[in-house]
Amino acid sequence: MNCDDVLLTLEEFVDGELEPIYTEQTRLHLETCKSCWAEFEVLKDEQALFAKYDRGFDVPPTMWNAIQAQINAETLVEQKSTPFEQVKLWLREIFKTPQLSPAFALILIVVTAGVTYWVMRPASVQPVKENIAGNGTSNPPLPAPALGNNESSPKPQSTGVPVKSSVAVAKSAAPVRRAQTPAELIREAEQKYVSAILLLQRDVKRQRENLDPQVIARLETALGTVDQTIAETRAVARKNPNDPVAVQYMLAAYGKKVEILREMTNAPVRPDQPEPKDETFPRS
Amino acid sequence: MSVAVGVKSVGGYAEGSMNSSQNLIARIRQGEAEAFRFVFDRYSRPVMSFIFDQVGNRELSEELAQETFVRAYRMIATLRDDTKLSTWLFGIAKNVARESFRTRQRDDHRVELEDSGAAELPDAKLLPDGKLLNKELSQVIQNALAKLDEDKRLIFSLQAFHQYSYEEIAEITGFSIPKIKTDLHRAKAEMRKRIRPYLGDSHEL
Repeated sequence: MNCDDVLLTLEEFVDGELEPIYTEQTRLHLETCKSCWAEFEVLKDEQALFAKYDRGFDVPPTMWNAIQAQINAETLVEQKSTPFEQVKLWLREIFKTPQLSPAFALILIVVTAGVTYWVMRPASVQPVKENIAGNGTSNPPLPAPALGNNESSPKPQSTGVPVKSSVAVAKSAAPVRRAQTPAELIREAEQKYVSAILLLQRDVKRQRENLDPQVIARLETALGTVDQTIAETRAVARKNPNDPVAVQYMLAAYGKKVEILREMTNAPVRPDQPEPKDETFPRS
Repeated sequence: MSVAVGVKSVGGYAEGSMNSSQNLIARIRQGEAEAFRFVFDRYSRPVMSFIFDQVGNRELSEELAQETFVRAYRMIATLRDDTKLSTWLFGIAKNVARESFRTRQRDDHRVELEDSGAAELPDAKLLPDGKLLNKELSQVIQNALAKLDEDKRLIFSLQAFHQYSYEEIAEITGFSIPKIKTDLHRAKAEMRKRIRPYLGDSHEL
């Protein structure tokens, strides 16, 4: 090793960090080179100088008691706290470490957004009207005289089926553009039921004269009861939009009304009425 | 001429077999309060000194040393058996000090040293023979240390004052060995430059 090599690694040598093979070579060089030896002495003095560094204080005797008190207090809080509070404490601990905070914050934001989307995804987005119209195109219309009007729109084969399938479609519908509030979601679901009910009522009205009066009377009584239930549950749900039970009862009442109307449209025709003809595919 | 170079102890602090790190950790995990007291007695002074080197304020370093030990107690279960207690504690102290440093940087955008009036010592502080008293010397070192940037101050303090090896510094700080070597070399050069004017011929660096 020459002087340049030694001076380049002299600090590491003094720090005891030089690899053994170079340590020995440096030692041998220093024993024979006065100028490098002088540099070595300077660095050793410097090391000794820093070893004298006195910050001028001692650990206060009260520190241990303060640590004990803090640990005991935190243990007590953890024992008394509910699981929710323990999660809060845990989160607080995580965010105490700044270098971890951005990563944890990002993960939490992603998870929260995912959960929010999953919880708030729309109960229904596809209008019932469109669904019913879509299904109706393949169904045969009722005979014109039986309708008693000039409506040319085709009658659904079974009014209940499209409504049922519309709910199924609604559940797998496309996501909304923004997270809706619970009140908005309730209104949207309610609106869908109202749309379905209006369509079914129209069908019932059209078929009414052809249906069995006894069956219709029985179902109308049931409809009256359901309407009353809807009115009551709706009032409760309006007052408590965040109460899932109230909302569930109201939507169940709407669902029941849809079911009854569907039953009415499927009710047996009066014995004196002719069987509807399939005009699209006339019997040969 | 006899050439003697620094011999590294374990983190600069002897760890006997009866109260070895592993032994103490096991006893703390079993809930033995006395074992944690032993850890405190052994490491409180170096930990507080190390924190003081980073933050430059005595009251704050007391507070942060306390926080370090409380946090260490809570995290003792996460300590791996092969980790050295001293480097683990210094790692926690480093985090606590850095958090505080960042908070204070946000507050006043600069680090202020306690007794900052002594930032530049007048020549009158020099003794007739040109030597500084230990107290003044320490003040000069403290002021020079405060002028280092955060990483260099951290590395320099661990190596020069606490005699940690490069490998142990890497464990405490998470820095690479090449960065530690470079920063340490630069830190020493800066310290030398700032301290030299206060030293007499006998302390020529």
